[in-house]
Amino acid sequence: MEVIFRNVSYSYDGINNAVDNISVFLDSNLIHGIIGPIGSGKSTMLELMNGIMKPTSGKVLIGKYDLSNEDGSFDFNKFRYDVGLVYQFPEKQFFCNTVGEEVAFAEKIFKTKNASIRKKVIDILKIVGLDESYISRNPFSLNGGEKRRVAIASVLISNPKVLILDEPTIGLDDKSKKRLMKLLKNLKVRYNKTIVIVTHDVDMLYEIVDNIVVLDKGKIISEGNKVNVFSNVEYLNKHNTPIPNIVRFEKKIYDKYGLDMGYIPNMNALIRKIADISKGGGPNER
Amino acid sequence: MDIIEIKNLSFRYKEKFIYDDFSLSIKRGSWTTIAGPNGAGKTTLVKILAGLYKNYSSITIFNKPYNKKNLLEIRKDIGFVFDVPDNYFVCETVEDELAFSLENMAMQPNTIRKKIKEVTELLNLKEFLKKNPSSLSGGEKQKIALACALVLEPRILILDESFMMVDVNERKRLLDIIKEYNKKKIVTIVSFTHNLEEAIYSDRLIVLNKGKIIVDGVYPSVFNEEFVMRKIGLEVPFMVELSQKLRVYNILDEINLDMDKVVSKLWK
Repeated sequence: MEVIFRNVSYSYDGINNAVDNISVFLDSNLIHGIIGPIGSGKSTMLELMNGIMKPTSGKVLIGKYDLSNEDGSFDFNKFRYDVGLVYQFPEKQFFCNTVGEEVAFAEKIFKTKNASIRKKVIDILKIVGLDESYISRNPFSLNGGEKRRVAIASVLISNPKVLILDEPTIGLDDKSKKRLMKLLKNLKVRYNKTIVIVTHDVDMLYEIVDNIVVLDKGKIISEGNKVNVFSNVEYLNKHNTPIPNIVRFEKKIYDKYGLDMGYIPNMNALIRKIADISKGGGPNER
Repeated sequence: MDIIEIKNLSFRYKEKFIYDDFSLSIKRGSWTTIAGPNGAGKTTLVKILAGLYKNYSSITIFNKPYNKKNLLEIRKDIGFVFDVPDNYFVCETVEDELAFSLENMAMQPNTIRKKIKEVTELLNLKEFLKKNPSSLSGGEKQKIALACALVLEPRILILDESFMMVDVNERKRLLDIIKEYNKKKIVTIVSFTHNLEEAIYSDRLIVLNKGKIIVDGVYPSVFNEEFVMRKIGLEVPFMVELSQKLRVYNILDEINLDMDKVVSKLWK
């Protein structure tokens, strides 16, 4: 299921546009990242994908759902099944005494039978990397990374085709973050989800996303394949865009040695690449 | 001189000890970063310092025991900036929010205006003053929460994951401002975080794990212990991890946080 913004503007105060005439196509079965400095319109874009906020002008379409539609024909129940949204600090919305109840909540609302709910809960917990023993545990007693995964499980149980996450790595330590990144990649590859991540954690994003949308002052200033987007560091710097550390490092190597190291997803790949180049004696300075 | 002294603190939730015989002293005017993975005990310590848990007996602040009698007097000189600022905004505009605590302290309108002007200039907040705090983005809210703490001119500033919603460029700007403020006003800063990048700005880095101090040192030599930090699940700054790994391959000979210097030393 794809997400389309067509000439979308939104104004909170009727004077300034928080997003200003943006058009973008986020293709299905890919991971998309939305980045930009604070106040650039990231959260507004996310709220517009949530279906509660309607654009001031233009159209927001997710698959068959036209979120700009005001005529009452919009079926929110079906939409909530197909599009899952994980807010910043989703664990702060927990209200059940056990992980099992928390994850099953949406299914109960949608009146699924009890026996099949339990099986579903176990299956979903497994996908997010938690075993059956978590079912009876109190969600409030878990650590930050576990809580985040329970929160994602409670959205995944409805089997949404599109998963939208607001700052999913916020407040997580490195270990929990890496597990979450693995889970998101897995959800794309094995479960064919379309994933949209709004974040300022560009290092994480650079490793796992396919495409990036860069916002500044409510406008899209760059979008497309992540390697292409981050190939123009000077331009992004002018717009105050956070740049992944690996990209900054590669840029400095290019400026000094004229060496293009290509796409390097993470630290270990970077070390291997530098070690390989060193074996050949290394390049000369420009 | 120590401004905060914790001696033999024990604290537990039900049966589980979070702290057992924990001691820590913080020097006046210093900036201490306390880092640790999820579950290390950071939030518990923040809550104890905020007086939210009745466990005062082990703590002395401003040379006074942190007990029920002294609690209010001590607390008025400590500024807290918590991780989720939404929970404590009460006013319709940022300007009113900044004035709120000052009015409650019965300050004169002229003084209030002067203090708001100072903090507005310090953190570059002019464009936000007439806005509703709830309409701002997460990072902007955290900036306003910091301003609300600084406007009271606290002697101790406690930051609890206060910049996690702020993007990396803005975070660096804020940390630079706080560093200058720390030196100029001799404010003691204790920053709880799992972002070790903040250690670069502070005078001392303490790493907590399961209620114990496992690393206590000064930047940059403290990062010689980076393997301990990574082992417990902390993300060390990009340049620390990179230069340490390049050391293993004999490509670099020391941990270096300056990206330009590392690049120029790579193939020498």
